[in-house]
Amino acid sequence: MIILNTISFILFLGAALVLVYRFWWKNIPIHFIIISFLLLSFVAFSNVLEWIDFAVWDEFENPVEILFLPLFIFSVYAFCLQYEVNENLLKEELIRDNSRRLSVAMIAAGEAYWEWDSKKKQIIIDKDNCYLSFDPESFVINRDNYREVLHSCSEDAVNILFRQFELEDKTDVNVELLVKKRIGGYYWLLFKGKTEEVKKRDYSIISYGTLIDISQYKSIQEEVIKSKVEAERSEKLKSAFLYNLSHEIRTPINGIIGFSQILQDEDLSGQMQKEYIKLITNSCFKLIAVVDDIVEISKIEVGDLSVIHRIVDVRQLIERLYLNYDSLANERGLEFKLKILSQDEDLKLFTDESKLYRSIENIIQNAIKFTKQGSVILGLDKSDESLIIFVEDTGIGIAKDDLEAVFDNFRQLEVSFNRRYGGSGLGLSISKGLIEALGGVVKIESEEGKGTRVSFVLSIDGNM
Amino acid sequence: MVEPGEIVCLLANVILFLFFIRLYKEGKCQQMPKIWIWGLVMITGSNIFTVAEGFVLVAVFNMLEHLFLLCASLFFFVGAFHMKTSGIVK
Repeated sequence: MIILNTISFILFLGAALVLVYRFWWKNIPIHFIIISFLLLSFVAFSNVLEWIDFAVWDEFENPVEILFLPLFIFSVYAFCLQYEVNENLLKEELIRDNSRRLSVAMIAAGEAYWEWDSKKKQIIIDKDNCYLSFDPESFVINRDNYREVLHSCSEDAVNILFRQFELEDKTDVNVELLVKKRIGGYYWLLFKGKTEEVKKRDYSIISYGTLIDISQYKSIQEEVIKSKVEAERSEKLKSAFLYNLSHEIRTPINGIIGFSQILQDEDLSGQMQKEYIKLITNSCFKLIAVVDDIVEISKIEVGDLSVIHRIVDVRQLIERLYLNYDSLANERGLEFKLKILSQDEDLKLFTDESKLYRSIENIIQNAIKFTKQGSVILGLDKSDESLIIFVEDTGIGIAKDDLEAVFDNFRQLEVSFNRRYGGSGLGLSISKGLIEALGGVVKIESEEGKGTRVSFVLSIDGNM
Repeated sequence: MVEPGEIVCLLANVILFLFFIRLYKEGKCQQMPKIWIWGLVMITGSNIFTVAEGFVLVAVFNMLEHLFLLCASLFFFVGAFHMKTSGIVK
């Protein structure tokens, strides 16, 4: 008995010490540890005292046991319960803290939480955890309502997504959808998430994730793509332009070099010398015209045009142009007509005469260049608030699809055109740039094979 | 001769033990090591033998009383090691 009681004593005491040691630094209130320790120790000591033949103790042994054994069991229960409560409180605190951090992060990122409801077969955007700048049209997207909630361009993507969820495909979700806003309009939302198996009572596969507004990113992306396409197109146009230009520069230079070499021949007659010098001079003028074009278009591109305004009699300017180009048109076998439709004598503008002249001149040159037969009409008309200068021809015309592109810098509709017709192809771009610098608008109407009409609309109020 | 105090002690022991088992089954103190329940069973058993000793004075009852108590102490000692300490740092 003595041995049994001694071992019991040691073990009870040991259990008490172990408890104290293990939980001293933990979240158990100190009084629970102390009570448990005391009770366990007391049970231990009561065992020891039982086998000591101690008269005084005998009288107390049973009452003490009666009192302390139930108390001991109760203290074990209380200890465990308190421990459980503390554990749960800590877990709840941890969950709350994590939840708060997650919410703050989601607010900062402007995200929302979504989940696939496998029972109802629908994507649910959690209203309580939706921190997007705008609410979507609906917080639920399913096969019945997706046409109302999404833009038509996202229908394929959402159908693929539905199929993926229905097939319980565990591929990560990464889909961009154009979703309708509640306040109207659309915004791009990026759905990111994953599918995994979970142990839940009613279903075993769950797909969930976050979504974020990527409209800004998408618009930047579109801009970048557009710029890239534009840059590639410009690159091609510039190459074509350089190809054309090299021809335009090379031809007069060849003329200058060739005739200069011939002029070195001392046997040439005076008449021939004069003829060749005239040809060299013409080549120089052609060359300078090409250089002028390039300088002009560069100035227009940079926005470095100096406009000198003064009152210009447009009727006189048109008549002067008509006289200047009448002979050239006639040489080409074309009929050159002047049409002044307005009866008003006062057809004046407050504008830059040289730039206006240059703009119209370019259009007339183009009209004559691209018209094999028929006529070219230079006209002037006046509406209530503006003067309209137009040039009509019965030339080759421009295809409808190319109409918008004809004013692009360095734009050549066809490289071979220029070889057939000559010129750097900057004429229309320069005219448009100059007219816009003068506050006017350029309009072009054309039908392939039938002719073209280019008109400049210049506001009288804005100019005068 | 059985003492009334011993019977009261036994009854209190059994009632608390049953109450404790019920709570454990309800999952209200899941962190407690299962072996402690056996420790409590042993303490109750020890008490039963204490009472039985009062009715019939048999040496084996006294022996069993102490043996059960020894088992109880052993179970409590082992359980103290197996009790889950919280993984959460306060």
